Amino acid sequence: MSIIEAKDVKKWFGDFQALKGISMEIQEGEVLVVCGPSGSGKSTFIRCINRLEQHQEGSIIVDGIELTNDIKNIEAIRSEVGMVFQSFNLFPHLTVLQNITLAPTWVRKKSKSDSEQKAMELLERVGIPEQANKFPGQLSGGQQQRVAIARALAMEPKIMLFDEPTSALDPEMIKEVLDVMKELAKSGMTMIVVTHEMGFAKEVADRVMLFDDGLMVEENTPNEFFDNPKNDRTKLFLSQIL
Amino acid sequence: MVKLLSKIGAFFRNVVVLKWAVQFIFLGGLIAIIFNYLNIAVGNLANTNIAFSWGFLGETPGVSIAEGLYTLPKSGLQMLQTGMLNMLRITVTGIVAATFFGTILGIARLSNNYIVEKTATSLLEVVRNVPLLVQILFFQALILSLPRLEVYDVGSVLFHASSKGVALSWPNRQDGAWMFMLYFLITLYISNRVYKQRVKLLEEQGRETKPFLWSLLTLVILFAIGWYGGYRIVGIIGFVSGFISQGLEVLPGIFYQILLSVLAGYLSFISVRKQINSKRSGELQGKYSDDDYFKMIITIVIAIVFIALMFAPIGQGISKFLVGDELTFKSDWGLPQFFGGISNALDWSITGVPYELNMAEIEQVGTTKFKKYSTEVGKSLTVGYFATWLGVVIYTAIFISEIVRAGIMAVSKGQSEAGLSLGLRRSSLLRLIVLPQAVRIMLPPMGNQYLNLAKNTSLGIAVGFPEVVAVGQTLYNQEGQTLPVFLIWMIFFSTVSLTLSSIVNYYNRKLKIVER
Repeated sequence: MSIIEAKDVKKWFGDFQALKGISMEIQEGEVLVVCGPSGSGKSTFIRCINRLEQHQEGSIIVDGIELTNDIKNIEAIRSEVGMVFQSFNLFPHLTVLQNITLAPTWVRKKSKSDSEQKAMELLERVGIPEQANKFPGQLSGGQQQRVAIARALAMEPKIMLFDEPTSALDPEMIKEVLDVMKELAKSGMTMIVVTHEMGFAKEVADRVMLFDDGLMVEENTPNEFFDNPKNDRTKLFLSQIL
Repeated sequence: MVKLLSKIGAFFRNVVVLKWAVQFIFLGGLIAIIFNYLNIAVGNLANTNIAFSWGFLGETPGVSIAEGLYTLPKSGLQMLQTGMLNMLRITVTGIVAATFFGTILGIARLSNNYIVEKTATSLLEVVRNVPLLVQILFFQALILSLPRLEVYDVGSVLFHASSKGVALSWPNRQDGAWMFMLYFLITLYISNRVYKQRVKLLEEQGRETKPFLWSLLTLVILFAIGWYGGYRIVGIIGFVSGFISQGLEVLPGIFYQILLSVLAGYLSFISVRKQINSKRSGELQGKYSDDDYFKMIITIVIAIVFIALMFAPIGQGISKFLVGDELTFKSDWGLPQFFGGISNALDWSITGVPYELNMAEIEQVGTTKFKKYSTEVGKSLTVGYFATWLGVVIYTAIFISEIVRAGIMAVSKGQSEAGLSLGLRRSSLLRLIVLPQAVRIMLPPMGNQYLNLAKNTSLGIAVGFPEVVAVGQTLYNQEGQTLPVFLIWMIFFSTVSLTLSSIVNYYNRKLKIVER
C-alpha cells in the first residue's frame, strides 16, 4: 500500500497557479527526489503534504488519512510527517536539547527524562552530542540543520520531508548534512527530498521527479533520469545544472 | 629643544591621548556650563529677594489637597509626598492596566475576525491621533456631564457614578493588610520553590510529579492559613525593626555620613573588581585597554568625590535630613522613621482579616444636606483621578498594542511553520515558540511606554488631580521657591524612570537570546 497518495492536486496563490494537477504515489521506505527550476511548485507541493499550504483541488491521503479541513486529521498527519526547512527554523530561545524535546513533551506527552534520552540518542546519530546544551545561534549552519533533522526525528515520524535542506549551506557543510540524510535513507525512512544535489539523487534516490511550471514533467529511476531522460525539458534542465 | 617639541607633538598626535583629551574637555565644559547657569539662577533669585532655600519644606503651606495621604499637609514636604504618592498610584496601576488592555488590543489587531480587527484598528486611529491632554479633558467633561449626586442619594451601592466621580465596591485594607501582603509575597516564594523542587524530581526520576498542582495547593493552603491570622508571623520583622529604629534614633548624624561613604566605597570596589575579573581568564587575560583603565579610574574618582561631598556641608545637610534633626526644617524621612514605620505596620498584636469587601457608600458632607462618596469604605475615584487614569491608560494601551502586534509579527513565519510541522497546536505554538521570542522584541519599546505613562501622569494638573507637578506648582506659587521645586521634580521623576527602566533592563538581560 502506498503511504502517500496525491491525486490531481491543484493550488493557486491569487491568480497564479502554482500546482496544475500533481498526481503521485509513494511506497513505504521509498526515497523520492524532487528537482526542478525555482518557481516550479516543488516546495509548494511538499508543503501541501503537511498542510503548511492548503491545496484547493484534488486529494492527498497520508498513511490512510485524508487531508481535509478537519483539525484532527491535520494534527494527526503533522505528527507523523517530519519536515526539514531550508532555513533550519530552529527555536533560537531554546537549547539544542530543548529544541528536540519540545514536541515529544508537548505533543506526545512523554516524560522529560525519556525524551531527553531519546534526544541524546538522536544527537549521537547526527554526530553532534557535545552541542546538546548550546543555543542554535552558537552552532554552524551544518550543525543547525543536523539538529533540525534530529528535532523532526524525535517525533518518530513515518515520513520525512526535506525542503532544499542544503541550499543555505557552505559546500563543506553540505556534505555533513547529506551524510546524515543518506544514513537515514538506508535505515528505511520514507523520504521526499526537494534538492539540487544531483549526486545525492544518483546515490540514494529510488525515484527522481522533475517539476516544471506546476506540473510533473518526468518521473524516472535515477539511472534512467540522468542517462536517458524521456522528456526534452529534463534534458535541458540537466544540461544546465550538470 | 626641537627634540622636546617633537616629542610633545607626538604625544598629542597619539589617538588614545586625543580621545581622552576630547572627552575630558567635553566633560569639563559641560560641568562648567551647568555650574555657571546654576550660579546665575541662584544669583538672580537672590536679587529678587527670594533666596534659594529649602525652608518651605518645613513650613505649613496652608492649603488643602483634594485627595491623597495628607489632605491637610502640615509641611511642604508632606504636600510633595502626597503628590508623589498620587503620581505613583496612577503609574503602578496604570502600567498593569495598560499592559493588559494593550496586549488584548494587539492580539485583536492580528485577528482574522473582520469585526474585531476593524474595531481595534479604528480605536487605535482615534486615540493615537488625538493629543493626550485633549483625551484627559474629554474624560473629565464626560464624567462632569453625568447627573449630580442628589440630596436623596443615600446608603450603600455596588457601583455609582455621578459628576462627583465614581464609587466602587472594594476590598478595603484593614490593619493587618501590610503584614498580609508581606506574608503573601513569602507564600509566593515558597510555592515557587515547591514548583521547582517537583520539576527537579520529575527530571531526575522521570515520573509525573504534578509540579503545578503541588505549588497551587501550597499556595492555597498557605493563603488560607495567612488569611485567618497566620499573617501575624511576619510581626517578627516588625519586632526587629522596632529595635533597629530605637537603636538608630540615638545615633548622631555623622553615622549617616559614614554609612553613605562606606556604601559608595563598597559599590565602587565591587564595580572595579568586576571590571578586573571580566578579563582575568581566557584569551583576554590581563589585556586591559585604555577604556578599561579609564572606567576603573573614573569609578574610583566618583567614589572619592562622593565621599568628600559627604563630609562637606551638603553631606552634613543630607545626614541631618535623614536623621530628622532640625535643619532649615524638620524631616521625617530618616532611617529611624523608616524602621519605625515598618514596626508599626508589622505589629503582631494586630488581629482580624486583612481585607474587608465593602460596598461603596454615599454619605453626608459634614452636617449639610449635600452628599459625597465615602473615602473610608469602598473605593471612590475623584473626577481628576478617573480622567487622568483613563487617559494615560488608554493612550498607553494603544501604543502597547502596536508593540505587541509588531513583536508577534516580527517572529519569523518559519518559526510557526517549524512548530506546526512538529504537530504543535496553535495555543502551544503561541505559548512556547512565538510569545517567548516576541516578548524579547517587545520589552525595550514597552519600557519606553512605561516611562511615557509615568511622565504623562503630570497632565493630571489640567483636571485638578493633585499629583507631584500640580502640588509642586501650588507650593512654589505660594513660596516663590521655583528652583528647589524643580530640582525635587527632576530628582523624583529621574528616580521613578530609572527604577522602571532598570526593572525592564533586568528582564531584558535575563531573556536575551544567546548568540555567539
